[in-house]
Amino acid sequence: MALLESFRIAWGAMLTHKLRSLLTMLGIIIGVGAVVGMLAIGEGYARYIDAEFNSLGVGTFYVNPSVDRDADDETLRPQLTAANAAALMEPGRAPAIDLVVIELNRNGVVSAGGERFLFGVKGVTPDFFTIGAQELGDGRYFTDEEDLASARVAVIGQNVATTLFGGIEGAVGQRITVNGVQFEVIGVSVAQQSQIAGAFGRFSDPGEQVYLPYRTARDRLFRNDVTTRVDVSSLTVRARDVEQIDEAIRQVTEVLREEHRLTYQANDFRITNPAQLSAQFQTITVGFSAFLGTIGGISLLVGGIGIMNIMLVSVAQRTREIGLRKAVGAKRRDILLQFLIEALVLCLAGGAIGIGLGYLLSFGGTFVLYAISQDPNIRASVSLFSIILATSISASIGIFFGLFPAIRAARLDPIRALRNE
Amino acid sequence: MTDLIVVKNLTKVYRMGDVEVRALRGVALTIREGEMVAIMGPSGSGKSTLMNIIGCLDQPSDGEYYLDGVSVADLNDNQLAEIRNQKIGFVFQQYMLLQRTTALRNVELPMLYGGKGGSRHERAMAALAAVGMDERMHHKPNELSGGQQQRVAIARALVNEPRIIMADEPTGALDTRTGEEIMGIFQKLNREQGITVILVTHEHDVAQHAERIISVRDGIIAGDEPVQGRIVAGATVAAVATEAEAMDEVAS
Repeated sequence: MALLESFRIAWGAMLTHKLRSLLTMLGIIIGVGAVVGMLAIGEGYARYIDAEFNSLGVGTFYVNPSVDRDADDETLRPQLTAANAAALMEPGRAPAIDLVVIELNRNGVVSAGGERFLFGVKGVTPDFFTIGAQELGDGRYFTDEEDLASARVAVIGQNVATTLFGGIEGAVGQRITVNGVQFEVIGVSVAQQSQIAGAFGRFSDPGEQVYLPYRTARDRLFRNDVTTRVDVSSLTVRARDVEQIDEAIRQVTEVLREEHRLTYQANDFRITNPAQLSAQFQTITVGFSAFLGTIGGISLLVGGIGIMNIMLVSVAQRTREIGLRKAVGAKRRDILLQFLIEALVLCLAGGAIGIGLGYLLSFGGTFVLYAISQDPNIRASVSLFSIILATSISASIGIFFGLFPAIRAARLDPIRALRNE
Repeated sequence: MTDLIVVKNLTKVYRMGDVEVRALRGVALTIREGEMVAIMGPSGSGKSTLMNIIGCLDQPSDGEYYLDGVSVADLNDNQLAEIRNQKIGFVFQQYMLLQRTTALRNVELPMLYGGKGGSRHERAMAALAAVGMDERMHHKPNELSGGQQQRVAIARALVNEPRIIMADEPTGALDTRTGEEIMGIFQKLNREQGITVILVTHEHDVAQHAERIISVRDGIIAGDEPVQGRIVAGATVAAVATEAEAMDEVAS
């Protein structure tokens, strides 16, 4: 019998029992929907995590003065200095790195002549503004010359500007005091807080900071607050490229241990590599996918059994039809194919509706992702791959679970089938 | 005329649990091409079993059956299906039409499983025309009277140009007058197209339309005689069709 004719009959049979067919397909619909939605949302989430890590700076890692709590050596004290940063940049010592930024993080009382506010104060070397997602709202950043000269210039975060001056406009050129020392505002930063920076101890909101040249902050504001062992809060190191990050970490460790004259002791500094955290975040994604995948798998199994059940009912109800078809010359193969194609059509229709459900889930996922990321480019989108996957899963279920009822139909004895009431 | 059906020493044994039921106990029979034969017998006589075997729906337990020179007992399922498709047209008491399918599509059914070439549509329409149902080819069975449904069923039996039409109580569900018209169609097909017609019935009036009555009793042939005073359903098929339609309109 022509395949096309079988598909036509199957389609007709499905439309005749619309409600029954829909209920039968429910498991397939939910299963396929879960799988398609899972793939779309999982992919969107992975892209979001990627984007977040990129906003921290590609190929960067952090060095903090810190001693492992579990270290046996109680004489070990944390150590990290601006001189270490200079040593790292000496030619030939750590060739895998191309940039070291110094940060000195403190708080300060900030005022524009009137009320006084407490804000974060960050003394940074100018290269700080070249790493990650930085954005200048107005004015300019400070220069290396200004850093070396301990110039009294400041770049302020947008919340600081709003608090002091009621907005970003007009802030540049104003004078402010930080802990009683006067500064000229030369720029306003509008950088956004990274959603994941807190995961490795970087909680400060860029909008709430006053950025000063590192040496200005160290020598003019916090001279009594630094020691010869520790005069920085952290170093941010950028590798020459992402592939060299492990080598860069190895070289930095070696140089710092040399500088700190460590031999058998443990490190008196700690290196944090966001890329490793990135891997942990990806693990969360995998867990989430596995959860939805399991729901999808169970639904598909239940759906498949539902298909088998309804096909058995269909075979029983249409026993006389099968008998007649055999009497007028249908071979076993013809009957087998007819019922197999009916199961296939049911599953494919269920799969198609399930893909629609997957689209709905991905729209919902896009909203959630947008709520988290505030980035309209991060969206859960259904890929061609997942549509092909869903279609082949549906087809396989149709064939697998449709086979038994179809074989049963094909084996019916025509005489008994015709007599069936 | 050649021998179309030759049956020798045919037996059929069913096992029902521990009990063996001997439905046929050595039947011998010859039906020549172009004959119109009635097989009669009370229920339990074995006539249905005989019909099923002659119709290639079932295989004998023992004995020989030659249909058109082919030994049916040696054929497998697929070959039997092919013979049913190509050489035999079935007409049942309950019409056996697909309910949600138009008359035309119902008639096309045997051609889905093997046809003799040509356009399915045209051949189905020709078959419907031969039984006077061409004007209702787009009707579904529930829009047709019993007599009309049986005509569609006959068209379906005809469409692959079979050598034999096997009709199992074809008038059993119809009133006398409509039954008479259906018998008229069988006689016409037998007379004008030379199709061998085998009627299976327990009604004497129906059997009297055949040329020869074979009586089956207790699994053997109890009588095989030509019909004396054969009833010829008058009127041409076309006239019968018109009459049937008129009657249906009165009925509805």
